[in-house]
Amino acid sequence: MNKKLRILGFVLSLALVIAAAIYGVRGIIKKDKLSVVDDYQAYSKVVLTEAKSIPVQDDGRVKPLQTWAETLMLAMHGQRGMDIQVNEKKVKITPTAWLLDAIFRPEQADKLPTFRVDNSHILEEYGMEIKDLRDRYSMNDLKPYLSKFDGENRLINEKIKKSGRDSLTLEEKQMTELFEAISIYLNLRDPFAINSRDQEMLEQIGLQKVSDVFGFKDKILGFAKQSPNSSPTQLINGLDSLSSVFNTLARQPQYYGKYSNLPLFPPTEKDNDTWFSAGQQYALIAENNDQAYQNYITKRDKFLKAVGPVDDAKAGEIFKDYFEIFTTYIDKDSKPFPKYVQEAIIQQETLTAKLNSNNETTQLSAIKEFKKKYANTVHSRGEDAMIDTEIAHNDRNYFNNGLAIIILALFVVVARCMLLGTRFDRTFYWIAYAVTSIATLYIIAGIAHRSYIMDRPPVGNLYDTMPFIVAACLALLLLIELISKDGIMLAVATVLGIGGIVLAKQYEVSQATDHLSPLRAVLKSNYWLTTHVITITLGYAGGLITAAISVFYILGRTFGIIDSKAVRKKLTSIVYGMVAFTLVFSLVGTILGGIWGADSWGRFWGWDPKENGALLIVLWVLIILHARLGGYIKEMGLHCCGAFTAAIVVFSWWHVNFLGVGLHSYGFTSADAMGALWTFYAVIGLLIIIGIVVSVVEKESKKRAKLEKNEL
Amino acid sequence: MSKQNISTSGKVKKKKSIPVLIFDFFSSYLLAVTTLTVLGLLVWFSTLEQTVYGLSATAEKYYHSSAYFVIPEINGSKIPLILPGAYWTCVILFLNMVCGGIIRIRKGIKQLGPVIAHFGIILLLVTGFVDHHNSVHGHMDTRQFGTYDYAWKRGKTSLEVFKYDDEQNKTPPYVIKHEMLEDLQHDSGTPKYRVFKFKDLPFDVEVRNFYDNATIFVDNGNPREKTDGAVIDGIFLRATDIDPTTDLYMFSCYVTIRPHDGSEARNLILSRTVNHPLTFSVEGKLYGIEMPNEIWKMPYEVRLVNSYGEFYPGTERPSYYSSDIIWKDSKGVEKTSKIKMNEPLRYQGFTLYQASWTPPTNGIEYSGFVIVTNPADQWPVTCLWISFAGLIFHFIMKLSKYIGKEQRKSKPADSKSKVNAKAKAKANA
Repeated sequence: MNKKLRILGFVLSLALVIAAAIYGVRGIIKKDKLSVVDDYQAYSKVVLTEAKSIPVQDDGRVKPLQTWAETLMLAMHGQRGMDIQVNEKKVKITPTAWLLDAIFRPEQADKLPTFRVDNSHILEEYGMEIKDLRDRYSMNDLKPYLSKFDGENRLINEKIKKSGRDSLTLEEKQMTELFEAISIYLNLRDPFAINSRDQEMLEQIGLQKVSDVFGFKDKILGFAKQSPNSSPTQLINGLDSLSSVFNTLARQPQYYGKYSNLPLFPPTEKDNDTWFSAGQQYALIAENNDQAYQNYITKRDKFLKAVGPVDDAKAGEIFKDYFEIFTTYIDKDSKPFPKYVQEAIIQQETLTAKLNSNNETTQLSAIKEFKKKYANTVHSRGEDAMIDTEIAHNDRNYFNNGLAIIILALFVVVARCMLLGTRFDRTFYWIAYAVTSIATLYIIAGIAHRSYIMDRPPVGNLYDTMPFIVAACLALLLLIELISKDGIMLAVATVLGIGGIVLAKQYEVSQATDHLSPLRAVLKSNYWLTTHVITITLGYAGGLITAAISVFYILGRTFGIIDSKAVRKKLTSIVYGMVAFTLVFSLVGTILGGIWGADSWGRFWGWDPKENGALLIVLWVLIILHARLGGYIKEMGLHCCGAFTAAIVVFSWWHVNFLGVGLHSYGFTSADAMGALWTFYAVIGLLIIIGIVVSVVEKESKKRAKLEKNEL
Repeated sequence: MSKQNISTSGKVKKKKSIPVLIFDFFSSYLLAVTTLTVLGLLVWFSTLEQTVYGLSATAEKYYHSSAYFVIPEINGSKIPLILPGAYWTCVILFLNMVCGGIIRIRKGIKQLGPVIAHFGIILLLVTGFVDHHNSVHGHMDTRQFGTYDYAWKRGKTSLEVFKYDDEQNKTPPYVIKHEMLEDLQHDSGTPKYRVFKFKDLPFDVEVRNFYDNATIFVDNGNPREKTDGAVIDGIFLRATDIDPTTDLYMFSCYVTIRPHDGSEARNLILSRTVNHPLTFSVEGKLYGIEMPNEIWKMPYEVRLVNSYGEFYPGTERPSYYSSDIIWKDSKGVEKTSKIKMNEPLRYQGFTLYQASWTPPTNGIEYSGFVIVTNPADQWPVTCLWISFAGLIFHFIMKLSKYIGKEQRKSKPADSKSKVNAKAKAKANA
């Protein structure tokens, strides 16, 4: 093959890898058209720095508001942060700022492009004007269509009830996701921010905010006992109006509060570990009091029916009894709001009022006071220990930055390829080595930091496996590079590293959950997490390295890049070594898993999909080793088998989780993920076919050359 | 005189005897690669098949010793491929490892690692065989302060017939075991039934159309696509696929009570889904019949004293659960134990695991235990250490050899290049 063509082919392959990487990170690098929100009042940096460490309880643990905000923003917006245009200037809105707006300044938040919609056609059906297919919409954009969405949501829910979630079309699934995001968003807002219609009513009776309801008993009773000049009929009617107004007032936040999802307040009791949402607590009492009101109405109507038509004279006669019914409702049947709920509501109202002031000092002092109010309680419960370090972890954004460093390393590797044989060759080699090492250390630091926050070994869920495997692959390949010293392992390391981190990012966006969440009881064993999980994950890493080097070998031979026998032999030795490495860790990890299973569930082996996946890796590497020892596969055969290891590892690592059965099932399925898996298998299959064809062609040309030589 | 063949190279090649040929076959790499590949295929197919038929049915089909051959399926469609059952494939692999990995393998320090590793895996296979033939699994659902000396066998049902005494209490039942029922499976061929006679009971029990998994349907008069059995009291049974996510069997069957006094026979439908006995009268006495999981008598009693459980705050994700129990050892001495997740109680070959926990209802606590008896319970730990030692020894040996080789390769090259550089510098000077 022409040398130029070969280089072109290799470059095209490399471009393909980079294109795949760019496709993966397109969400990060794609610049959306900025939404213009001219009257947006941005928080100052100091306010946000103070706010991000407000402790909240979510997903079973106490965490900084920043982490919660990042998870929510990722779920709705698809990114950690958004850019908007304010008075022709670009303003970056951090997750903390966005969440503060969503809770305390809903009018501002409703203007922000919060909702990511991957298929805008689903909105077009409701008469919405859409811009791009994949776009972001604000609550103000969606508001006019909410009632239509609600109707559609009901129909979809009925369909789910009848035929299950799998029966939904892709568009219906996308609509459901949007409904869920809207619902979460609406339940975030402070339920005590009373809307203007109620504000009018509040002003009429001289009350300004919901917390004024707390003294309602005394106020109503006092009010009812006053008015000495009124006639008994007027007094009775006055009592009716009073009861109705105060019930409406007390009930108003009930509807918002019931679903309020703001666990901002630590419990007052020591033995209770569940934080509470002021809205929910309020709703509980309000619900009871609403029932008391309904009982009062029934009792009153029954009384009035028995009395018959009421004139002034009759009113005077019955007033005492009537007043008794009224006071029973107000004084006995209606529950008072507990002190801790009252305090929480007052705090929330104060925070809302001050954050809407648009004055930095006022905002800052409000947040400080709020934190101070509950700081002692949180501290005495030992729940604030990890807040600061988690903020540091979030701010360092280890894996994103690690990705940037590995991409830089890849560029240095490519540059070094261009400079092979020149005097810059070694310099660029060591620069590439150093940059890759820095990336590795950075990712390892991220893993260690996560581990410290979670107070457990580094791998406990599917997300954890990804950075761990990337770090293990990078570290192992850097070690091998120290021995082989030709730069090939650096190239393989950078491509694997980019692929791994991109995968982690995609998974993070698709799941949009907190991956630092505490583990289920059965997994809470540092001994087994350290031994079984780490070992089996290292086995995955070994398998992926094997496959990556083999893919490099197949492509290199296809394009004639590695035509030196010595290099081929070296790559073959490394792959053989990595197969052995994979065997050691997969086998030990699999047996350890069985022993853990025996200790937890009473059986060493249960043919569960995850166990089978691990066993498949062991069997496959044993097949490779025995086939090689038996002479059934030669060099190219070994590499084709090596490349196939990637398919086996991916089946074990990912595919079994989508099957929806077994003790290890993560309980999720995704058409996109399944599509990606099958594409991956197809690519591996194609590479193996290419390898076989190259091997056959080379053999034939060698035969022909030999024949020609003999003829000569 | 032994026969001899002369090879093309001129060397005299002895014709091998049949035992040697058999040994060669069993110790060959070809057999190793083949059995490992077959095993790999079986594992892969069985993993996919679980999504349709559930774990228990698939494990039975692929891994049970009674499965000599397997025709795999994908999404319920048969694949035109016949594979040997996994149990028998493992038997071949066992022979292959003994012959090839222990006896035939070259002896020496270089092969020490593989020999040890092979030994570890052989032991692991033996563990698997012992487990397969001897282990019994059951579960015990306990209530606070309740005493239990039995468990329910997993995946096995039984038919219990009993008499009520004058105070309407159950008397000890007559038990028909799973093995006596499972061959009465409903199929399209000749109806199968079995009549059970009991020494002290005035009636016989005829069992027919036994189902591993069936649902009770109400007969609403509409013509049904398929009626497997009779309609009794407006209901009938229909075989249904097991839910692969729960993997629970709803055993069911049709039963006819035939009184000895010639009075009218009673037809009944029994199902695992019904959690109470069906009653009937014969000769003026009340009897009951039900279909619980098969009872497994324990060698010691267990009394649940306390059951603790916690969820992570604000979630339904369990963070911890444990149980305090009182049990009696073989000498009748009462002992107290705490059973936690990953920390079972092992005694006299029986192991008691905390499997589930239910939040207290009306102040009463509940715990679910899994009970296993398996003589090879702890053998995998030994296998692990042996295999690990063999593999790591071999790996380190090979790695150091490789590193040494690479260093030897690079040293002369380095020194050569240094010499060249010096010579070049000299020439330039």
